[in-house]
This record gives sequence, structure tokens and C-alpha cells, in this order.
Amino acid sequence: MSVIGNILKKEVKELLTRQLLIPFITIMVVFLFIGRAVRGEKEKAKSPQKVLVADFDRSQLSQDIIKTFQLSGLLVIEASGDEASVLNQAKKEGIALAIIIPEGLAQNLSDLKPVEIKVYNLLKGMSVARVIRSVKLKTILAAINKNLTLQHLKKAYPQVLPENLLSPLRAQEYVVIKERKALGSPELLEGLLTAQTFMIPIILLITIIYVSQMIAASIGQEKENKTLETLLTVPIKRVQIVVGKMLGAVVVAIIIAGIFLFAFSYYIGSFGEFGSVDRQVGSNLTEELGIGIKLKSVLLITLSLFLAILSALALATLLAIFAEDAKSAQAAITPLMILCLIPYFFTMLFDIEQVSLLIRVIVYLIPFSYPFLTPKALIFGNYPLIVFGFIYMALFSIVTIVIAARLFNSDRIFTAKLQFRRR
Amino acid sequence: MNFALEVNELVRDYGALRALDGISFNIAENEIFGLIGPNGSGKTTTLRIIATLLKPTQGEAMVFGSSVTKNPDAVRKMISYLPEDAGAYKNLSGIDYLRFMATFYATNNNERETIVERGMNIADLKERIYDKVKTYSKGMTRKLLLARALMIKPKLAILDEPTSGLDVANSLEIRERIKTFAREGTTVLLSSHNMLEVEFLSDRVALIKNGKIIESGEPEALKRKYNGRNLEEVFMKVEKSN
Repeated sequence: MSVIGNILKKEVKELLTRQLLIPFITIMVVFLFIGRAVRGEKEKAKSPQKVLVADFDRSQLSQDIIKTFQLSGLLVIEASGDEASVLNQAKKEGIALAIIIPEGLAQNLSDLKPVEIKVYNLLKGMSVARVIRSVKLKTILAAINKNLTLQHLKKAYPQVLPENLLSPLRAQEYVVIKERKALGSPELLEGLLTAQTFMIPIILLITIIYVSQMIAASIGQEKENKTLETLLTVPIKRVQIVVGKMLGAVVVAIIIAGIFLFAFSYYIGSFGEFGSVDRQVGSNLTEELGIGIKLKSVLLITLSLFLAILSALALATLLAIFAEDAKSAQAAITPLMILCLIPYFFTMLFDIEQVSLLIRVIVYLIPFSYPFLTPKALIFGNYPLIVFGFIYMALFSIVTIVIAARLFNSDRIFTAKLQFRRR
Repeated sequence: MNFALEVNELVRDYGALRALDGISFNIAENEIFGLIGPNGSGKTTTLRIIATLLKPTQGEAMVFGSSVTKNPDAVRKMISYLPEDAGAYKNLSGIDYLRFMATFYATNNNERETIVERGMNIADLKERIYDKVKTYSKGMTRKLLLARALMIKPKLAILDEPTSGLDVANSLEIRERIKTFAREGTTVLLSSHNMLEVEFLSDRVALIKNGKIIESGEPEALKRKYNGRNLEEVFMKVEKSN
């Protein structure tokens, strides 16, 4: 077995312990459980919903409204009797929605008087399915309302298209990027891009945190247990020790981050429908603007992520060298976490092109900024920034690894601790 | 005469502090040489320089003719170092730890397994060798580490306080193993603040204090010279005369 392979195998065995895995598997199970429960609720919401409808008007219009309910996927059960008995029937039959269509509905609407349809939500508790069903009913009622308005307008102004009266001033909004324009709004575009790239900072942060912790724990434990002293006296190149340890940390971090991200994305995916932009409209918009996520974009973002993680690994290795034990090694990597959070919040709140030169330089100096900057740079065709980021992160990693290997090769790895002691 | 180890005027500073102040001594092949001195006298620093972990501020040490500063890779092929109070990888089993270390010295799997077999015999942990190191007592861990240090049959074994913190029974066992192994052709440099232990083990000793060797020689000769019943009395008398 190669030297690096031997060290890597040992690192994985040492780091990937039951004590480390159990909390993550627990988190995974919790996320999967919640995700599954939410998905189950959503499936429940999709199934035909029973609605108890009491039609006290018995007009053509009230019957048309009931037919609209049915066509919209509601399972209508007609009820009779007074309002109280309708509610009692709903309770008895376990129906969560009861609608009362009042007497005189058709007449009042014909006289252009407002009419109130009563909607009773019989709650036994709050749930995702409950909320979805309520929203669905409101959407149906809004559509009926709009239809009635258009009919009123048509009757009052037969020569005019009712839509023209309803929306006399319409905004035709375009988004222009470089030479290309498309129908759409910046909010729509922002929402779409956020939906496409929201996992990037999560992947980056989680992986960097775990990679850094693993390498810090590895070096800290070796120093604490004096196993590093033994390892450094065996006839192997010290750079092989550094590389072996780094690879071990990467393997363990990928396993841990993978478990976490799988569970987390399943959990987030269960809320997929909420607040997301219209996929078809969004797709048309990005296609027309030529900024859709294509294979090239995916590869560039992935490369950016990889180089940022490599930079973090190299920096964590360097910082952990100065620690005396496992605890101080964990503390030593705190600056790295802060360096990772700065670009995360910064790129979320500001446009890099619009800020002062000093702040821009600070952001550009942090190697972990580039995965956050790359998606926007791809949209606006800022390829020099992307290429600069790649070169900068690669150089940062190489220089940091070389410094770390040199420190391993010198006696500084011990002297930080030995400086004030005399043996 | 060809020496296994030649140490010439070693000086080591930690900032303003001089930990070693011109230490010189030689060890012949197959000899057991003991460095005796109180805590903080410079024993561990000396051993760490010879083990290629620290660089001397001045001076030189040669292991079988190879310089620890100019050719540390060659030195590392000939030595085995047992640090004081060292641990092993807690989540590996004893045998996995031996196998992990043996892999660095073996050129093929057969050779590796031969080394591991030897390590198992030295450690003599029976079935417990298959248990994780974190379940071992201090004595068992020390036996495992000594086995790790000796199983590769180093030309020079550097043992820092080999029985530190162990009870009498475990200390005796470890001393016996060191002696047996030295007879089989390994030169041993050991340090201890336990002067009786060094007296029992060593062919020759050096007494070290404040980074300087204040006396050296065979234990019996030193006892005669200073009219001491043991090396502890010798050390006290030498210390007074300095």
C-alpha cells in the first residue's frame, strides 16, 4: 500500500468513529422524517377535498358556482337545513370545509350589490395540508370573483372588452442583459436564480466546516497524543503525511457533509412548491436572456466550489499546525469560519460592482468569496472575474499547502509548544 | 572505532532559553546508553534532535555516519523513537496500529506481516491485541508502543522515559524486553529520571543537568569513583562537586 494510502486509511478509521457518526445520522433521520411527513401532508392536500355546500339561493348562478367548485377538484356534498345544522353535519361527517351560499345571491349580484359567501374552516389542528387546501379554495373563489366582475363590466359596457376596463394601464416589463432582452421582472429573475443556486452556499459552508474540523481534529489529536512525533520519525516524506491527512479529512468530510446535504435537500425539497417562481415562465426568461444553467455553468460552479474547499482545507491545515491539542485546534480554525461567512452575507446583500474599492478588495482577497460570486458573474458574462477566482484560489491553495508542508518539515511544528518549556 | 551515535557539542536554544549547552557523547554499536537527569535537564531535547524532530542551534549528531541535520531521511531509516507519554491511535486496534506503522518500513505484504508478527510477540498482549487501543491500560499501551519501536529492528532505538508512569510489574517487563532486544543487535539510547532503572539497563550512562553532561561512564565505574551505592548517590555527589 502506498504511504499516502496507508495514512488516508488510518485517518478515516480514526476520524470516522461511531461517536462522530451517530449525531449526523440522527440529524439525517430527523430531516428525513420531517421531509417525509411534509410530503405526506402535501399528497393529502392533493387528494379531492370534501366540501359541504349549503345552497340557500337555489339559482342558476349558485349552481354554476357549485359546478366551478367541482371542476376545480373539490368533492362537493350538498347540505340542507339551517346554518347550524350544516355545521353540525360537517362536524359529524369530519368535513373540514363548509360553504354557505346565502339566499338572494343571484338577485343581489344582479343589482350590483356585494354578497358574502360564508366559508367555515373546521379546525382540529394546523397542518401543511390544511394550509394548502385553504389557499386552494381562496384561489377558486378569486377566479369566480374575477369572472363575475368581467360579466358585470360586459353588461355595463357591451362595446368594450371587459379586460380593458379591469386593467386599463398595463406595464410591459423587460429585463435587458447585455444585448439580449426578455419579458420579465428583476424579482422574477432573482427568485429564479436563487432557486437554482440556493444550495451553493449551503454545500460550501457545510463542507468547509466539516473539512476544517476534520483536519484540525486530526492534527490536534496527533499533537496531543504525541503520535505525530512518532509519525514524523518514520522514513517517509513529510509532504506525504500532509497530503495523506488532508485526503483523509476530505473523505470523512465528504461522507459527513453528504449525509447532511442528502437529508437537508430532501427536507427542503418537501417544501418545493412554496414561494417558488413559475418554472415555465422562469425557464423562458432565462432561455431568452441566454443565462440558463447549462453544463458549462454547472462545471464552472463545481470547479469554483472544489477550489474553495481545497483553499479551506489548506488554510485549516496551516492553522491547526499552530495548535497544541485537539481543543485549541478547533479554536484555531474559527477565523476560517468567519472568512467563509463574510462573503456569504456580503454577496447576499450587496452587488460587488457597486461597493467601495476597499470592500471589493477585501472580498476578492477571501478565497471563499468566488463560489458566491461565480453564479452572478456567469449571468453577466463576467468571465475575467471567474478565471481570476480560479487562478487565485489555486495559487492560494498551493502556497498554503507548501507553507504547511514546510512547517511539517521544520521543527516549528513542535517549537510553538516547546518555546516556553525546557526539557 | 565506528560509533552508532556521535553527538558533538549540541546546543539548542528556545528563544532566550538555552536548553542544551554543548552536549557531546558517543555510543558504540549494540550498547545501551542511558541519559540520566532531573526533569527539564535537556534529555528530551537531546533525544528529539537525534530523532530528527528538532534541529540543533549548533553542533551535530551522526547516526551510523549520517548527519541528523544534513541527511535526516537516511537517519530515519535507521532509528525508531519512542516519545515520553506517547499514545497510539485510539480508534485503531493494537494490531491495526502495528500494521499501520509496519507498512512504512516493509517493501511488500509478506515483510509487513513478519514485522507485525514480531511486534505482536514483543507486545505480548494476547487476544487484547485485536481490541481498540482506547480500551488499553497505560501499561498495555506502553507495551504496544515499545513493540512498535522495536519490531522494525532499528539500528538505533531512542527511548524517552520508557517506563514513565508505569507500575513496578509493567516497568520490569518493559526493562526485560529492552534488554533482550539489545542483545539481539539493536543499539539503545534511553533517557530517564529514574536512575535505578537506567543503572539496571545501561552499559554506560551520562549524567545531564542544565543542558550539560556533568559526568559519564559505566555505572559500576561511576559508583566506585564517587563511592556511591547507586547512581542516585553518584548523581548527588557529582552535582555537589560541580
